[in-house]
Amino acid sequence: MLAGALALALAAAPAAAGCEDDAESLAETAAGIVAASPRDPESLAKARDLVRRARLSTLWPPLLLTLRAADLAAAAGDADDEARLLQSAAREAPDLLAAPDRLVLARQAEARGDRRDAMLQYGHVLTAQERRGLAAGAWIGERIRRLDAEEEAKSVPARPGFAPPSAEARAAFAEGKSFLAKGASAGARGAFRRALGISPGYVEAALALGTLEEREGRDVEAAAAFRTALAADPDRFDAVLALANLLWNEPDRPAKEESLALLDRAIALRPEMPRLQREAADRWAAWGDPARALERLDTWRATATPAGRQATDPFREKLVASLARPAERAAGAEALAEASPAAPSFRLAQVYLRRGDASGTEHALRELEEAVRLDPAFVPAWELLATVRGQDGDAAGAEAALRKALSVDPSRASSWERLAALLESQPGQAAEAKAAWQKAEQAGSLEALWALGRLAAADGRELAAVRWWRRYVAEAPDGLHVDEARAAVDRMDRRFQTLRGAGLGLAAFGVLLGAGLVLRRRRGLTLAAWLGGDPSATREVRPVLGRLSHEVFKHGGLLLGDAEERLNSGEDFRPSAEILAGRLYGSSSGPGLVAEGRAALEDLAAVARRRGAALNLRHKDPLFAAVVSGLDALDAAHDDLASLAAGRALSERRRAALAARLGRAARALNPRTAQELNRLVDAAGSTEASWETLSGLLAAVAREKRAAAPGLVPLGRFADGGAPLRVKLPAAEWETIFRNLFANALLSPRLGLLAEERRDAVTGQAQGRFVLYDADPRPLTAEMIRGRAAERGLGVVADAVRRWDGAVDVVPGPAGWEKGVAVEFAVVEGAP
Amino acid sequence: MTAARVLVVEDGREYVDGFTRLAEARGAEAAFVRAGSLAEARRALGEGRPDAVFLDVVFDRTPEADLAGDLDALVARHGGDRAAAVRHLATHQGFYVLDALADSLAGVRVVLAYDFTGEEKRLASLRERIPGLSGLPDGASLGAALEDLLVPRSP
Repeated sequence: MLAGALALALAAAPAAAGCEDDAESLAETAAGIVAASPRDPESLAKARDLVRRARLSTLWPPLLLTLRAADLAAAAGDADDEARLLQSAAREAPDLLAAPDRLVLARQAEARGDRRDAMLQYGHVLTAQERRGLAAGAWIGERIRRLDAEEEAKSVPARPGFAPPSAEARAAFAEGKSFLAKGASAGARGAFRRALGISPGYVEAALALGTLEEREGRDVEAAAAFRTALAADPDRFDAVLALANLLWNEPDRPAKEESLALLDRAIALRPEMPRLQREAADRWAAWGDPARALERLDTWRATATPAGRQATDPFREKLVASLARPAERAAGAEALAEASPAAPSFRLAQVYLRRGDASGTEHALRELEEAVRLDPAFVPAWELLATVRGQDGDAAGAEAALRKALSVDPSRASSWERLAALLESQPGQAAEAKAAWQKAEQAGSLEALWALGRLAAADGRELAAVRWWRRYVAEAPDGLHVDEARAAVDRMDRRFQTLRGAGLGLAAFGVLLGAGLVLRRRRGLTLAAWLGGDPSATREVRPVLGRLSHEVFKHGGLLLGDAEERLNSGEDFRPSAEILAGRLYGSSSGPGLVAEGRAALEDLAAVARRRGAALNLRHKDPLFAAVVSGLDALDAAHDDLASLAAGRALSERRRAALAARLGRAARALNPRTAQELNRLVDAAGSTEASWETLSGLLAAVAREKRAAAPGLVPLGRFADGGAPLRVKLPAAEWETIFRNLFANALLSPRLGLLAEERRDAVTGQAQGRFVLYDADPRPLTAEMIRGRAAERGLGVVADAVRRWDGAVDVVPGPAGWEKGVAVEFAVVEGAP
Repeated sequence: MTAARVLVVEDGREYVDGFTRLAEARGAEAAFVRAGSLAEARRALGEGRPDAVFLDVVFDRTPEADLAGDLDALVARHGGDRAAAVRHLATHQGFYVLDALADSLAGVRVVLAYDFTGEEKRLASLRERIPGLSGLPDGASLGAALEDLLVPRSP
């Protein structure tokens, strides 16, 4: 194609004899030289010089002259110059270059490390393919993904920064915990992230996310989560310690410096934990500051046992000796400052893993294997390798990687935790798992306290279990299993107290509890009041209400609908009682309606607590008070229903009382309540997608960016004057999405905005589709949007779309438009 | 009189056991066949056309591999978030099974355990493919659901 273009250029260039400095004359002379000796290097050099002069002789070199120069550069084997000239031509006439030329340009851009340009060129090819209705080449898509990952990896710091909430950052904390309980870490991660996205101040969600990420070897994400926790509560001990431990394993010096400062802060927060001083002594020594190390070590030795002091005597002597040799300190510090050669591969692996697909995992695995080959002492890579292998079902490989990590750094609590959890999941490894948990505890793991209590309880050593769990509750007040630990401790306490016949304490507790309940009757918010003030919470509330609706309202109705009538009719109720007892109070197939209902209410309250609100569902909320009363009635019916199910007859009076209770429950779990709740959430968590609001937003964005607002053309429902759709996401999220879409489209001379209502082909759910069309020829693909980091421009759109169960795509524009970015969300049926 | 044949598609056994016991208690002539997944439902349909089909909606106990629906397309729709896509499939599985079986359900009464109250257009759009479809309002009793399955509805 380029040869053709050159011939055209030569033919088109007018002769300008006698005017040697004229561009056309110079070009013609060059063509003559090349025609005479096409393969002679000297001739080529002369011709290139002439064409270069021709281009310099004019302020705006003609396109064909640029192509001619590119062709001569290619003939001379100067690929860099060829690429530069072709790029210049492509900028001037984007349609001039065919896909093969674009591919050449892309490869050349890659070769010189210009990933953005390479992506741009590949994007052109992809777009051209799609416009022709051809399937986009998987290879091109993969190249773009790889380049984007490499580009993004540059910004993944070895020392993590205070990143804003990531892609899946705003889910229900309660949902996350229940995912975690089922071992579904991907679901838990998404849920915790969503919780944080809605309220970055949720310390518990941040800690839970950080712990999860750290366990799975995603250290950058873990650090970001811990920082989020610290931003909300700078004195949160467990977050301080977790981040300190995490950063200590980072390869670069600033991270370690920060880690040491954090560890000192942890010591200040918990002076009663001498093991922190001991750890600090080790780390300051490794850092190359024997004075500080000695100070910490001596503080620890003051409370240590004689054996402990004796064991550390050599260490102390070494530190004292080091103080006399300041040069050694500097050398040690410098050595630590060197970044590991494994760091680039490690970063790239993390980026691939964020992609979350099979190919990303494969790439990540390769990068991690390369990382540990380059630096077998780089522990984070071993840990991440273990995680990836474990996820691939390669338990032996995961264990080998963890053992390798621990052979390098046996003080790493997170590695011991992971090894223990892995061994626990393997048959016949219980003893080794327990030993690993003990090592984890010695290394400072708080979750090990929970695990060791669990193992002790399984062995029937209840007193030991309680001791572990008491420590867990005290030392990790917001740990992942703290609710379970508290409940277990309470349960065992009650049992011990009963055995001792000590009812007095319980009575006093009852009086206090009663007083607390009276107080709670007057405090707290209703669901409506809470969501009215915090509409973003609807994202977390919806799934909980969905579960409540499914488990309680639907199943409750099915089970209880005619129970009262049938009991009163005197029919043999035993078969029904068997079903009811199993479904209401649980069986091997599930926990039962009552437990599910109460769990949903607890989850709702927990979500509110984490967002800084206190709900009073039992006493103050008119909708939920009925639900609670229904569940209470079912609890009260338990014994009689169990008797009937077991074939024991009830007296008339008890049978009538049972019928009344079931009837009360059936009426309380009224379907109207579910409908009211859905309406309430829809009202609080949905937004009218009006033309006026969006066009006003475009003007505001343009003002903020100090740019002229492109004209905005209404299309579809906006042009027809149809009623505005009501999208199921809060106004702030809706605005964020369009703020970023508009900001990205300000260079377009004009914009078109289409709204239309659709139905999901499978579920029939009403969907609102909104397309922002532009007249900007720059290529954009859905792949490019989805690959963006969550905090950048269109990445914010992709992130919000994911969080609110929407969809985003790039579609070809109709006549007059280049392309459109389409977003789709569920809408409230029947709105406005 | 021939017993009505009812196919119950659910991930547990709650509905099929409840219907069976209730039908027995009421002396209703009905035979219930359970399918735990789309594949099992197809097999059951292959063995004979049922008089009615009952579908649960949430299949959160079904292994990912057994969930009906185009997971790859959903993963793409959820921006690469596989967990979210699987969650969507599990919580809407009844709709996906229904969609996959639609062509086999002509003239069959179909009850989906979903309350369409307030979403009448949604139900209408689904009925374009499955005219015999109805929802199950929250609060409806098992007895009412059974009647809905066994007694032909007026159009």
